[in-house]
Amino acid sequence: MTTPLTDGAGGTSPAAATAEIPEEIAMVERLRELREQVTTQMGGPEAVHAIHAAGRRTAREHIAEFVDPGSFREVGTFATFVDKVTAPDPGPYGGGIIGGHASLDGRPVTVAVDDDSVTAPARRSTGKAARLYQMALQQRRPYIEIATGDTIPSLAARPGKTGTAGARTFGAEPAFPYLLERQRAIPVVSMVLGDTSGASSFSAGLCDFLVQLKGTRLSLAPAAADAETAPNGTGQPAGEVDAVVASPDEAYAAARRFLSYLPSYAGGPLPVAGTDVPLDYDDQIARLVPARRSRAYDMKAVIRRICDAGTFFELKPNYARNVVTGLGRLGGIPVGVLANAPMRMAGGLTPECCLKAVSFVCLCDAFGIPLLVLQDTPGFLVSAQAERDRAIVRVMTLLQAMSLITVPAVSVVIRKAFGLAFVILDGNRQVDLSLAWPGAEIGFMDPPVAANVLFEPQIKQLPEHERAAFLAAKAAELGVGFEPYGVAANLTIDDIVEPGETRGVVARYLKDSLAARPPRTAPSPLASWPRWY
Amino acid sequence: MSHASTKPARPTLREHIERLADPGTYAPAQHFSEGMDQVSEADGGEALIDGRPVTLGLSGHLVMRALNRRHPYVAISSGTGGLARGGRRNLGVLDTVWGMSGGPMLAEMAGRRRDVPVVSAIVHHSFGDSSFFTGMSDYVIQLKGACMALTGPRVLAIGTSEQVTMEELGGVDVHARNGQADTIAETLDEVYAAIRRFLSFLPSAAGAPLPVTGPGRQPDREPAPGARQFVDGLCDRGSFFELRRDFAPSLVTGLARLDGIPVGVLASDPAVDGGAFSADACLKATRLVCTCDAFGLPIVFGIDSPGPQPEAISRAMMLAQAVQLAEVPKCWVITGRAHGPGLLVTGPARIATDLVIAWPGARAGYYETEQSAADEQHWAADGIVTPAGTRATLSAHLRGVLGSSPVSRPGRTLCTWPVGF
Repeated sequence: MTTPLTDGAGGTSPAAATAEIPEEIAMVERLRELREQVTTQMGGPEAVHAIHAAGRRTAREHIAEFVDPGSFREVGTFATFVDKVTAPDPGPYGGGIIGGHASLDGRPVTVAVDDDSVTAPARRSTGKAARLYQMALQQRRPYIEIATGDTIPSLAARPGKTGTAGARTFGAEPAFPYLLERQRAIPVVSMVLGDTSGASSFSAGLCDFLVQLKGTRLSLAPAAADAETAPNGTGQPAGEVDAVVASPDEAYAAARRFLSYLPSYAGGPLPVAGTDVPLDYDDQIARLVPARRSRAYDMKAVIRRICDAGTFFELKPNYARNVVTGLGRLGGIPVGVLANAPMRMAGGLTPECCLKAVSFVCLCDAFGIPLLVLQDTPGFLVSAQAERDRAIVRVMTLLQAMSLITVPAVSVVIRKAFGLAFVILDGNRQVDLSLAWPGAEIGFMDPPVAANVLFEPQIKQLPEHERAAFLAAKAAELGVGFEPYGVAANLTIDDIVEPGETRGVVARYLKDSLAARPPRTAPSPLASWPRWY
Repeated sequence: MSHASTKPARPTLREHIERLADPGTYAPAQHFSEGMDQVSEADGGEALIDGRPVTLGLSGHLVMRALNRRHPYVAISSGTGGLARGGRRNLGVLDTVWGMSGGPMLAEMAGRRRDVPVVSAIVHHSFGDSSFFTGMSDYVIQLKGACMALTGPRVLAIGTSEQVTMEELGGVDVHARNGQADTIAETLDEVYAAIRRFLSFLPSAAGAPLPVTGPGRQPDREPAPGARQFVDGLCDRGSFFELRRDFAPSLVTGLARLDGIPVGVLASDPAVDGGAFSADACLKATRLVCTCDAFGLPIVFGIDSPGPQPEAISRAMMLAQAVQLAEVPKCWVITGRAHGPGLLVTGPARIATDLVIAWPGARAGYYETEQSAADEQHWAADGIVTPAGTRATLSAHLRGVLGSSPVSRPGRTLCTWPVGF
């Protein structure tokens, strides 16, 4: 809001006004005028008009809608392109990125938004995103990039605005190397709200949370360059995107929600909220899980009952749905939940599931968010296709990730856990607390399959009609050994818990183990892992 | 297990080791107890390969010994998974899931931080432990006819009713194409030779001296455009050891010697998809960058590429991250075009031990329309060098930064990255 310094501008003659205003005031006045002009006109009135005509928001409008009202403090308002040799026209102020500091739900953040009133390749040539990122890093607060879209076609044709030489554009954009070696020191969110390519797309491949507006295209090169190679409208598989949204407002809400579970910086205090929620015995939860091993059920319903009410926020909900990943709270403490989903392929794990799980475990570990693993899986789904899809490497990478976790972790076998899948999801014995529900089956292989494999010679000698019964009997025999009391006896699991007390047991355990943990002095190894491999 | 009578007798572990290692050097392990496993001489032991000590064993059984002794480990597939090894033996105690699933061995491997080179040789059908082990090995070689898969066709048929042959499930064609085998061998002798060759480029352990040899034979030609022409003209004659040849062929990767110095080489091949980095090519490159960084090998890039394919955004960023985080000396030779995000791998922020040169006529720029000739731009930071002068420039640079008795200075970050990509 601009407060007039004099009320003479309207009525008095220019000469009189100059005489009345001391130079000190005039300087301020000039700044105000310039600022007003720069912030409202941006890349030019016709550009702003075109953006509005296309039903879009300008960069400043995005910021105003996204952050806490009135909290935005701009940085680099007067930045402009540095490369005056190849772009002699200095271009509009703002330098293609609008950004600064603000608060989000009362917590400080830094935002950098593509200014699409400025044409694409000219953007990012001021090093402004880099400056903003460095400031966020220094002040240990989340950094949020909003890609508003490459350009509006009617603007792309304007002469003189695509000026800077490519190599220099790239070389002058140092946010990129900073992001490459960021090792998740602060949370980075990338929102893709328009067709995005080039330097604006880089953070999408390096962030902690990627939101994409439905129907937009995210790619390293503009559409014309890869119209033939892009496999579909979005130009990429869904797995990399954490949330697909229908509107910019939904994107803001998703980013806000995501950040509400994260500390402001890696190693910082977790944003604990609602610690007074009851941890009472839950007499409903046991009914959600059918005892019959082959019956499917909704694992998300189980997760929602274990987490504090209304806190579960699922990530990548439409990718590799045999596993569920998401953030929630338990007794107010942020927690990452990794669970099998028996609704989908009985909860069997595909190579994509491993990718999704690894990506999630890295996120949680980097930011010190405790992990809760809920197991109910027949194991890794084996098939010729899975082998072609690099199942061995994918599975072993999940094992490696689970073995490297440094956050408190609790695993609960809800119903089934076999062989390598159990070993891996139990963090290769790295979880702090390994639990099972009383109906859990834990063993080296799904019993019916195991019976078939182990007793193959005997089965072959039996007449055809006796085989099924023989197998069933042997499977049942094996099944007895798979009851959780066996593995509890030798401490392969630490204890058997009632479904109803699970929430309380896990919440109290996490609270105690977080309190006991010394502050982190170095980033966890998983913090440097790629967000998608 | 029965074998078709036409097949030659399957070599024992001892026979494999005696044919692979230096003659007369094999010393089987003494009987001892390790975890829940009784380890005995039947499981392997120590031998010399080219005069350097190595532990060799059945799948992962003896990997702890190699880690403790700080020398390479070579796993030779046992042909049995955890089920056959532990499951049958322990039918009465089905509660020992961890041990049966190879837990202790896998735990050692998962936490190893790549301090010693680990090799997996798939010379028999390998499921369970033996195949798991490959997923965390620095080098995987598969013999034609051997199958490598999480589990075998029999369990598959029982568990899922899918009927496949060994070849269809995990034969060499499968893993040549998906990149899970670094080398495919036709014969056992090829297997042994390739393992010796792979190890010859690496120090015995991270931080140990780099195996620099005397100046190698000069290449018989100058480097020329094209990935293989670049490699052949740059490296010591006959030294190039290609890895994952049939996986993502738009990028040629391997180990080689440059004037006796072991290096990792990555060259884009403009003959395949114009040299574009597909998502798979990024995976291929990342694995080699991590291996080089873990064992202190300098990296040489030959770039003639339009950059990553536009949709390969995440994998391209992963590769750029790996390159950025790698602490070994890195050299880039821009041989043709390096435009589009191809510039990503030229590493915008460079460390002092890096070198960036371009051939005359090379062009670079973010967008193709904006690319400019090398001599107009700052990206060829260390100058324009002719193809003929490239080898001498690189060798002088590497000798300079490595010093007279080069020790492999391993990076500290990428050694905990995934091993398999």
